[in-house]
Amino acid sequence: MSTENKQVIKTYFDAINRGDEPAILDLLSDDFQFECMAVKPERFHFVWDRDAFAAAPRLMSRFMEKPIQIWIDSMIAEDDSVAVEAHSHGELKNGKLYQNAYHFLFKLRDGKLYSAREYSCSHLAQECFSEYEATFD
Amino acid sequence: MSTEDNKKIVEHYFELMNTADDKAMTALLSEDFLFESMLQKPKQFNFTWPREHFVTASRMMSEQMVKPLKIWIKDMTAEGEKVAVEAESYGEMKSGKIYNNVYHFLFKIRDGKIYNVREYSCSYTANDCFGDFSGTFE
Repeated sequence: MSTENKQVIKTYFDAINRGDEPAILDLLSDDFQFECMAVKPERFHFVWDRDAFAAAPRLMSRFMEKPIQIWIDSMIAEDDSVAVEAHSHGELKNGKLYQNAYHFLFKLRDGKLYSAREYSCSHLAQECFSEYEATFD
Repeated sequence: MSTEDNKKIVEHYFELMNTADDKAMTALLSEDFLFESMLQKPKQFNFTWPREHFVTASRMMSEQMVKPLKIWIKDMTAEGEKVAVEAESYGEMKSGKIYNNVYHFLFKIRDGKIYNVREYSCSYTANDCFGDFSGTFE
């Protein structure tokens, strides 16, 4: 199962990098939740359901020069969990570069993701995206 | 070492973090141990510490607390030599602030000793509580 779950995660990142909304939706369970684990600023701690999460690449394209790209650096799996280190590169229309480091924890059931928790640098996110904060509400 | 053995080592690491036992912590870490804070900004929060620096800095951090910082494990994922740990901390600071952060660590273990820790946590919270003490982290 762990090997299959890792493959699902690779497919998930490929779909995100293409901004392929139908492909992303296909990988998420009906009860999927994405939780950004930032504690502060409070608006960066949010939970998105399946539809809100799949729409995020489209939402972000409003203020990105090109779709944000994210690469897997390491991956381990056990039971229904896959922990993934990753890094991103994105050029914003405001001229800033968004290059963050992440440690995600994914939970999968029957080949679909039902939970994703993102740990990344909230200070950097605030620096890059604060002027677009209404987008995240 | 099995993944279950590695999880026990990581559990022991957190017990020692909570008791600030420098000697026992040093014994749990390899000589080439590196602690990497994976925060990107502010720049002083992106650092790598060797073993002695890590043990000393943990003690210096606890000196800024009214009571020792408590950190507890919420979830663990293990494969091979790696253990990923979701954790949460709570500490009352002498400055009057509450340090309540969440973490996803990645531990690497060789021959029963931890040789690498990478910490991912909320940098905004870290800066809010420890920004005034940034010299501590250099």
